[in-house]
Amino acid sequence: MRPLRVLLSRAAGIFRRGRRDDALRQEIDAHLDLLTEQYVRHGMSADDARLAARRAFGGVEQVKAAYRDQCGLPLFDAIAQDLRFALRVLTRDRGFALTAILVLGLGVGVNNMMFTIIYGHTLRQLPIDRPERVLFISASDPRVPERFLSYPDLLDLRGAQSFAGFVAFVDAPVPIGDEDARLIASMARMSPRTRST
Amino acid sequence: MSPPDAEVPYGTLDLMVLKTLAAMGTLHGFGIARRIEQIADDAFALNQGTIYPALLRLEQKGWIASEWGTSENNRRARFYTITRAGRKQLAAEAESWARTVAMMNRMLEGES
Repeated sequence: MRPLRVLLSRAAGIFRRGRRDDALRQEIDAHLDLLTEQYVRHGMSADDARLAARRAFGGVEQVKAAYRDQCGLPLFDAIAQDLRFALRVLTRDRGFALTAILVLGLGVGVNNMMFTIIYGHTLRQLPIDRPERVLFISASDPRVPERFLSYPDLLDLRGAQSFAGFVAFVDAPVPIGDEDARLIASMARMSPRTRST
Repeated sequence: MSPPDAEVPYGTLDLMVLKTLAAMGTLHGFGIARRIEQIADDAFALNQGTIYPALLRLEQKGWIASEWGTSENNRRARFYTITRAGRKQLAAEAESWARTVAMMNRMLEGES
């Protein structure tokens, strides 16, 4: 509760910096005047009294600095100061600023593109529940390099109890455009899913 | 007796300010500093300016409250008053201070 209260009070201090500084100056001036008057009453000359008052008060600037550190949040002050400094340097050296912004922009852009591609290509999972339970069934035959499953195979498989359902697909590349089209879209035909759970 | 230019013992200024306000009622910074110096009776030299960071610290903790008024030489000055939470804190700190002093006394007397 106490730390929170202090934090709030400090945070409020950020926005009242100028007023707080004025108030403190007034307070210190009043203090020094009272102290000077006290010394004059004790028989000092006005000048001696003023000097003595300053000595008894200690460093005015140190007090102001300590006071300022206690108002506001030093961390945010430091960050704001750094930002102002950075902006000042950037506006002074336009060429450097432009190069830095371009290089950073390119770096960020390229990175973003790479991760988008890798995500879409490799990381993103199939749009189905529990993809770890999906199996790809194929056949191998030493006599032929590529042995595809046939439609009767699918009908046989549908009798198996170990699977919740089957989908068959076959590659069906489609040429795009007219006869001398070079573009071939890789597509597949799929059977409707059977026996879903 | 400590030499007159000894520092204010570390960490005791806040407690002294609280006690002063509890005993004297509403005071401005100068009044608090003068009162502490009277009580200290030259045991240490108070840099009167150090009162102000201490006052701010106490106010931020809610142990004292302040409002602007007019000083005896007709200048605007801030007057400080101890709050109820401040009195509670003063009681707690005075007790812990007394315990520390008693412990140190036992220690120093016992070992001599």
